[in-house]
Amino acid sequence: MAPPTLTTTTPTTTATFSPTPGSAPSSATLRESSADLYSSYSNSSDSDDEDLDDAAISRLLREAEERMRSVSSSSSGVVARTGQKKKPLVVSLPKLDPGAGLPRSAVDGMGVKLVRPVRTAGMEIEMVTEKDVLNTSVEATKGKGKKEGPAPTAGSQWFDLPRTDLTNPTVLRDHLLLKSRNVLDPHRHYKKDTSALPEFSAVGTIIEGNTEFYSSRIARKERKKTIVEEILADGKSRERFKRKYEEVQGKKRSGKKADYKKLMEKRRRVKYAN
Amino acid sequence: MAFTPRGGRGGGDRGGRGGGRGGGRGGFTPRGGRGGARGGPGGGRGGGRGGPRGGGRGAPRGGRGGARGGARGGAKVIVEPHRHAGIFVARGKEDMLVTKNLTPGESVYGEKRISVDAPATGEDGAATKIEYRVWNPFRSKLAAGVLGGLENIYIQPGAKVLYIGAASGTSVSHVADIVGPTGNVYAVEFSHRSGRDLINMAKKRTNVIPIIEDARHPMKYRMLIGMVDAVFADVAQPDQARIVGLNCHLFLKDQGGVLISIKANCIDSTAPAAAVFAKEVQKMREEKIKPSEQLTLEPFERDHCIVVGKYNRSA
Repeated sequence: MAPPTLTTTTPTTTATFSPTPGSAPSSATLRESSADLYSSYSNSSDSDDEDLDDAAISRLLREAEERMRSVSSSSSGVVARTGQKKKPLVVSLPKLDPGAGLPRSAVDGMGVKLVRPVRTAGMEIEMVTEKDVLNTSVEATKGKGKKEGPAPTAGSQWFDLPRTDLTNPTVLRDHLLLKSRNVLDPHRHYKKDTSALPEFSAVGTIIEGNTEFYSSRIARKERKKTIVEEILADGKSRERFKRKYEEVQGKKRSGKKADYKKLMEKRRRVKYAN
Repeated sequence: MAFTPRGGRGGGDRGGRGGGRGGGRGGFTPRGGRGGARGGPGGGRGGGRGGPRGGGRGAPRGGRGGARGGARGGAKVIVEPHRHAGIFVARGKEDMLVTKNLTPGESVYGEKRISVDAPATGEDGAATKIEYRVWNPFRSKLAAGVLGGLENIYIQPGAKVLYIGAASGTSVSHVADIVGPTGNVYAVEFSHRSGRDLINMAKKRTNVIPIIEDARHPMKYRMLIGMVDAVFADVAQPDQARIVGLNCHLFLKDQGGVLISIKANCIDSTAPAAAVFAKEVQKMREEKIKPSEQLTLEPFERDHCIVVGKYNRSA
């Protein structure tokens, strides 16, 4: 924006066309600020306009400014004009600030993280300090969550890993299966795991390495969508699960009614056989 | 494959390193066994492999069968955060240490990857691909240290790290994943041969700055490096402590982290390992590094240890 052109055009347009405050407040705001800035120029360049003298222009400007102020403070004027009961759409742009440069970088020269803008659902930018980010560890979020709701991701320290989707039954089942994976295979031993389900997690698929196409890959047809399905697709482990289930059931039934009947049946048969 | 010593090691270019563990069995490659299976009727694959627990036909992954099924391409896993920032764990039938891939769609040294099914949407609304790379503790001493339970590794998202002894850049690529796009890794390597691979890796990862220089003369590359938050050294030289000290004095910030991997054989092959480690730790103290942890890398490397310390410039 070059100063001379602005000074010639702004006063005339505000004076003659006098934009309605409700319709285009944004442009008016711009004009207002520019008029403030370059009011010193206006005296010299106004010799072009014959129909308006300096005093009239400044008066009109002041009036326009008053209108603007009243509109921005209370939007009742717009409602009256449009006759709508709904909340009016008043977009207020921030004032032009010559001191404002680019948004602050997330990292300063020493590699110390200062601030990080986070886009939330409401489209406002909220500033998150480094301390907040550090606190979003699994334990810390529990305490914080009470106040402002649980964080949607694990934060920048874990590259925004999303929250575990426990509403999805297949995901939940996979998590529960992993918790009890020590019973899946008698030859495989795991460290004891008494932790809760992870707060943040994602489901992924392994991609084999460059050299493993034949040696370590599941054919496309045999691939499954969940870990549970993968386990169930294995015939041998299914057999084992069934056998183990029967063993447990047999133990549980011992001494109960069905077991007793079976026993009597067997005894009877033995008697008749002799 | 990740944590079982035998699984998948045969194919690695560092196959010989494991010494006794799995070395003998790793002698043949997975390919060798497979050739026969292919020839068989019925497409080999299904028939030959049979059950998951390797049958008579020496299953390529080793008799224990540890790695079968769990980590095969196409299997599902759940990725969750590790205790250390920037590191993740992929859980399936077995657990794997993983880092988030900076260059999705590419693997650096033939490692397995994990693609996340539902891609998150980026800020511009476009779907971004999310991928993780499996970090093998048998190939990376830092990964071995993380699995061993180091308390603090000082390498986290946004950190600037000086990596001395970068070699081909396999571990460096994972460090670059951890520090992420806001961090930096200055990778120093003297050998041109492995430096070539390092540079090729750095071409894809913009946060890696490869430096092919002798780490004994940090003044030669001082113009390329700013102040760093952590120094990782895996140089395996008799004067290792001196090299690390020189670089720390020049580039490391006060109270910055120092991680040194010590191979006892390379310092003094005649003395017992424990004595060598103690001597090196003493040398570190003289270089203003206050050691806080010493961890043996035992299941993964023999006679190695990793020492973590804090640099105290004013001391």
